[in-house]
Amino acid sequence: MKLLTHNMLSCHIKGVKNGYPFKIDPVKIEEMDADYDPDFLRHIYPRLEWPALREAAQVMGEPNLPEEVTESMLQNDEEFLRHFHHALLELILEEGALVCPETGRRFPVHKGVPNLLLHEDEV
Amino acid sequence: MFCRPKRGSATRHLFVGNCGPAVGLTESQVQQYFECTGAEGVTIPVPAAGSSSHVFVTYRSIAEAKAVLEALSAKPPAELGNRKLVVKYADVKADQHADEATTRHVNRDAALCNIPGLDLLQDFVSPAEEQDLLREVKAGPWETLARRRVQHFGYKFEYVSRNVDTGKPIQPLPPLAQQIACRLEELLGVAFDQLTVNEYEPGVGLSAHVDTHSAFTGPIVSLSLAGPCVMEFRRGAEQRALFLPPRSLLVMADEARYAWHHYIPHRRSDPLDGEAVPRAASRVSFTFRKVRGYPCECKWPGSCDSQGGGMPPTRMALAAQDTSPGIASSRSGIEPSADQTAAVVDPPADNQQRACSDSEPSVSVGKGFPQRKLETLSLADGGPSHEQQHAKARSGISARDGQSPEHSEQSSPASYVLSHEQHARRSEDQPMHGSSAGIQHGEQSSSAGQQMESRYVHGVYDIIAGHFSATRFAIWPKVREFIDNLPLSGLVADVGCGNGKYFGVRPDLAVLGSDRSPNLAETAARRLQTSYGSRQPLPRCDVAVADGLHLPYCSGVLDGVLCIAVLHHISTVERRVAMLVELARVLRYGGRAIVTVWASEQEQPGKLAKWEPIGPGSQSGGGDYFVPWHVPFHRVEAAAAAAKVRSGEAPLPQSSAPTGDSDARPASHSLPASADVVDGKAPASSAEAEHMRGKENALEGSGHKSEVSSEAPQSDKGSSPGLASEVTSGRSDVSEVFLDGQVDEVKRTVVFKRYYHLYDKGELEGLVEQVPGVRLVSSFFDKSNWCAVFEKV
Repeated sequence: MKLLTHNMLSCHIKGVKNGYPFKIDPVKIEEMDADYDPDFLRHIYPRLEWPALREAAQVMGEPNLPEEVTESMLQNDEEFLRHFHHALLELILEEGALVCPETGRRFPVHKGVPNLLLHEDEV
Repeated sequence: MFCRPKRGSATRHLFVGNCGPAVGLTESQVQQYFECTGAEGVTIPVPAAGSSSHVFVTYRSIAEAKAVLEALSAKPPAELGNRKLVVKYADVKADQHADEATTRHVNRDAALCNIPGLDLLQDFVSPAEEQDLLREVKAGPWETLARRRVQHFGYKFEYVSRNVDTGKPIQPLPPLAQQIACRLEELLGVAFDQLTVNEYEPGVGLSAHVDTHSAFTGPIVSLSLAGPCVMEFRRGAEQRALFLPPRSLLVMADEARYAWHHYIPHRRSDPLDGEAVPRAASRVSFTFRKVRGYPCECKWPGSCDSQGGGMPPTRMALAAQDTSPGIASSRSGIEPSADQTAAVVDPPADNQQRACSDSEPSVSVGKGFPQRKLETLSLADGGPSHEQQHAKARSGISARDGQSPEHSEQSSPASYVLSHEQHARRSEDQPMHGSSAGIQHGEQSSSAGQQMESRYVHGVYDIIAGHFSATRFAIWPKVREFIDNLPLSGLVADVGCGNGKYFGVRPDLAVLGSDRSPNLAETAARRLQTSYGSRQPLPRCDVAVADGLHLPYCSGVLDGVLCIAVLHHISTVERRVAMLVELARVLRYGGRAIVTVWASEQEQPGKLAKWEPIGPGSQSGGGDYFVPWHVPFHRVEAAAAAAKVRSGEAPLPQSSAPTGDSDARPASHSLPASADVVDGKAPASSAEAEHMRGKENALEGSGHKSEVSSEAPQSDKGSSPGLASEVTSGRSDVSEVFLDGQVDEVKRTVVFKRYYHLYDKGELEGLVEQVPGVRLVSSFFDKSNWCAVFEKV
């Protein structure tokens, strides 16, 4: 699971109010090379919850994302964009869990695939 | 001209990517820098000189090139603006050919290849035998492939599926070839029962492949007659070449057979001992193999189709599915069972849709999406709607609400747009307004529906995942068209993604795939990581196990949703609407979803009659059905079922099956001990019971034990714990599902029933109408499917 995906996930257990973002409990993190495409980063940035990405990236071993992102950084700051790219697409949570921030319910991640099925009493 | 070098080989030329005029570095800047590193020459590709984003740099020696490659990879040079460069070896095209013709070492002795299991026996037949064998097959009939002719004996090898139909023996080996087979049996202890004769003309070779694991067991041997050739072997970056003289016997066993690709280069002469040896006017090979008929359990899962690895579908298979509606639709008329080994068909969902009619009145998916900027601006103009504000007020997503909405009023127009989108997204992390009535009601009445789906959809797909995935690769044109219209670099959910066949259609899109079946999700995940042949890794796609009725995504974030051949597995109206509501929830405003379902108007006459109706259904044939999925015995998924049956763990079928189905297909019998559970239609007599046991024995006989005896020279058994046990254990619902797995002896398959609801005309649109906040963009019938595209408004 990539952090791009993580950024879009929220916990939908019935009654949960603060289901976003999942905390990441990593057991195994892998890195995968992805083609660097700054245009994609500029396109996708508006869709992201930046604080959630930044926090997740720290857990996953990319501590270099800034707190604030400005338009000019997105346009010209190569170093920033490289870190952004790396955090968003190249860090893979291979084994571990996603933890609901409200209930603490753990959703296992196995072979890179989070299992987000809810139990009967959670829907 | 530069090109990629042979895999893994170092050269004195480097490809340097992310470097050049296109990324803001001037030619002289690049030139100067690399001259300082000792380069002999710097080449900026000519056709795109001004816009090139890569250059080639040549050094005097490989060692120099290597040193620079390592240095650049370790640290981006400040002189080039600290850009992270992509540095790889390159080669010069002319050089490469020269290398290959003169310096590439071709072994005459198999032992020098150092591949476990590879052997070459010289003069295995005499010149007289050679002539006799050639004469025996000379008249044919030959089957003509693209570049060579072939004949099959014993069993026909299907090139589309790269497998054999073990239930369909064909003409036996001709007498002289049979004598050779007997000689081979004495030598190797394997009774070869399949022979393929290939005739190659000069210039014709054989593409790289590993013979399908599940198709053949034991060693594969090939007798070269008439002319010589050089056969190449490849595993990862390792490569070997072996000269095969006429009358020699090549033996590939163990690692050589299961893990190494072998191929014959398409060329007219072969390099040998520093000279080019022309190929003969023809070379004929006799390849002897032993068909398997049960899953492979070797220790090379990466190249093993039984264990989820192996080759991607053939181009022929793709072509048959993708581009030729005629073939596709004639195929689709065949039950999966009837065409089992051709590894294709799940009847209408995919193949039938192929030949789409351009004259269809309402086919159009509509124009492309509005530009994102426009769309968000219009949202900004009107401000959030009443509902949005209301929803926002209720929204408890405090982590997000903590971010000030006023943030949007400052700074540049770009960030203004951004934050409005975020705004919209935050405001919606709540179920869709107004939809509650139907859904609440659904909650109460849906437990029967859940049971049906759990058993006849989720459970079945989990078991058949590997086989199902191996047959799913056609991209349906209407879905492609929908995908083509999604915005650049858009964010898309593929709900019920199966093996993820739509992930790579547009590499710029980020696709969040999900499937309810963990095993299917895993097949999709595996695709993400492997690049095999033309298949590229997909760095913007991901997979999750999730329920389409409870998607794990934030609300209002997606540009598009695909829901292809999924909704027809949902068993109550309430749950169908709930799923559509859920799809709408995750869409942004202006985002679109495409939903396709099987239609009751099946274009293949007689198709409905083959399916098992559940309940009364509608006049036009709509309603609920069980549709069979056949897994051939040679697939590991079938072995899992058979093992379960043998061990007696699977409970009795009649006890809980919702409808009797023993009259559906006379050739099939309920699984477990049904011979003893007499119900008039199940085999009742002791003779039949005996027959059943015999069949089970036959299944057992095709299992591990016989492999041991038939593979005397092999050592690849006892290696893997067996996928079968892995599949059966660890899933609580599996034994239940086996209730519904049935052995079809005639087709040599295990049959699983899947629940389907076939949609009548207008039914899908009727469901979409019940979804608040969406607009039906178009709906159409296409090749036995009803399809709808809707937009969130």
